[in-house]
Amino acid sequence: MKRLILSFILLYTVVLEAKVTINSASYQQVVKNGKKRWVKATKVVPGTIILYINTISNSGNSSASNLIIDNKIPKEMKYIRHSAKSKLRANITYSVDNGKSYHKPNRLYVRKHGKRVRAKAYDYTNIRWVIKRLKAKTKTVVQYRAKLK
Amino acid sequence: MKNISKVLSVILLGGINLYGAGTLAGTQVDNSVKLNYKVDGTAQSEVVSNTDSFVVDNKIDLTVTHQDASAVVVKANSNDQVLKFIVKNTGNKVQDYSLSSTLNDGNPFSETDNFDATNVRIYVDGNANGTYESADDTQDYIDELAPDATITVFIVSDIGAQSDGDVSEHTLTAQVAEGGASSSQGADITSDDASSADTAMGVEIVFADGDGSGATDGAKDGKYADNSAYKVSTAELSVTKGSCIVSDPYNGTTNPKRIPGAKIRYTIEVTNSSSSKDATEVTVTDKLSSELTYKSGLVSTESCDCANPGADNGDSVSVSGQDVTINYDTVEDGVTECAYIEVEIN
Repeated sequence: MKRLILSFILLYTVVLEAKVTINSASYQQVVKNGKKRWVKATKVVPGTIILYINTISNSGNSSASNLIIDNKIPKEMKYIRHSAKSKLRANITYSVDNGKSYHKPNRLYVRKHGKRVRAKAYDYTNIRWVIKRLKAKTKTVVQYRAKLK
Repeated sequence: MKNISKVLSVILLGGINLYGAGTLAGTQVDNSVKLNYKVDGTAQSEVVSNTDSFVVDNKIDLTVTHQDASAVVVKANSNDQVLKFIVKNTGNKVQDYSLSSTLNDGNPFSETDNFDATNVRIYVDGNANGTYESADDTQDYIDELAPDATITVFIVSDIGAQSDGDVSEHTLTAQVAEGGASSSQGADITSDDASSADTAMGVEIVFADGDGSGATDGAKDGKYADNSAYKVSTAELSVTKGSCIVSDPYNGTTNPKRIPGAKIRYTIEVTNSSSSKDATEVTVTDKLSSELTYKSGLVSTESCDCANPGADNGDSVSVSGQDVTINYDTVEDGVTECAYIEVEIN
């Protein structure tokens, strides 16, 4: 009887787990037959705009909460302003110090030519999305665009 | 504040090999994401995504620009005359470039081409001083030109017996070639990978060059052309001789006749019809008939008027036996000078 109860407790624990994974993929825009479409980024030269799509999946049976997604922008890329988005409602903030601190754009400053100035989009080093809740057995995406330097 | 400065220094110093032409071909760009979350208020282990990667492809782009503000003025019958161009690698990889020149394919100076310079050669500015020197500038292709780098290229030609104002057009074309092997000319790259399947981790070739000058250059063809021109500037002299009778011993200056003792005035008019080139050290020798004796001579800077000689401009007239030598010194472009030689009939 004790063994049966223990097995039930273990099973219950497994069932309640949220199993969250994240996948990153890059795309570039091409024009085919007069129509623009995004395809997997392969032919990339300076100036190419890349769309990064991060897919977050919760394959577990329990909701995940307070999801914090941190994306360090590749150093070869320049973030394109206002391009960070989320399918679910998210609080999006940015960093200009390699992820040490995150703020809204109006609170981001850098020092240029000896002066403290408002950061431009291309100064951003990291993007952070905070999503309140991801239900069990669902997925969502966050994305941003950046241009190859 | 000090900490902020340090952080910014790290950001600035920790950069990539970035050129005006952009990220170098072959650079791998990675993106990965970290995810933290909670379940029922309990923090879970951090989840790290896959690393999404691609490799930057080879953007081939270049420019060729003539450096002469106007057609290069050359003399007739002159060798090794130089047209100057600058070739710039605006792509993102070290490249070689093969060079070629064509004739009669336009010029930027609104000149009208009407002859072909000969013995046309192309040389790269080997010592990078911007001046053609036959001893130093001997290579006829561009070797290992880095992204954003420029190099001067010369078209060197010979000019034949041309007339003043003649124009010869020349076009310089730089064709991109494989780089990577110093002191060895790489094979021309004549097509890109636009029509072939691409790979995320391979370095494909993408032509991005613009449409240069000349009929043979187009956009996205891996080459670029620009043109320039030579313009011949040379003095063009013509000589005209005339005469009139001034006086005779019996009639004086009234209806004089050509009898022994009469004075005859010869005019020797020299005209330089060039629009831009002075003629210097102009000398005319006139051999007088044995029946004539030289009396006086002068040179005037105007057209000849046998009955009314112009003012002496100081140029010299000398005689040796029956040979009269007139030194016009310099006859400027577009100017006529006249020598007046007075002789007496023996």
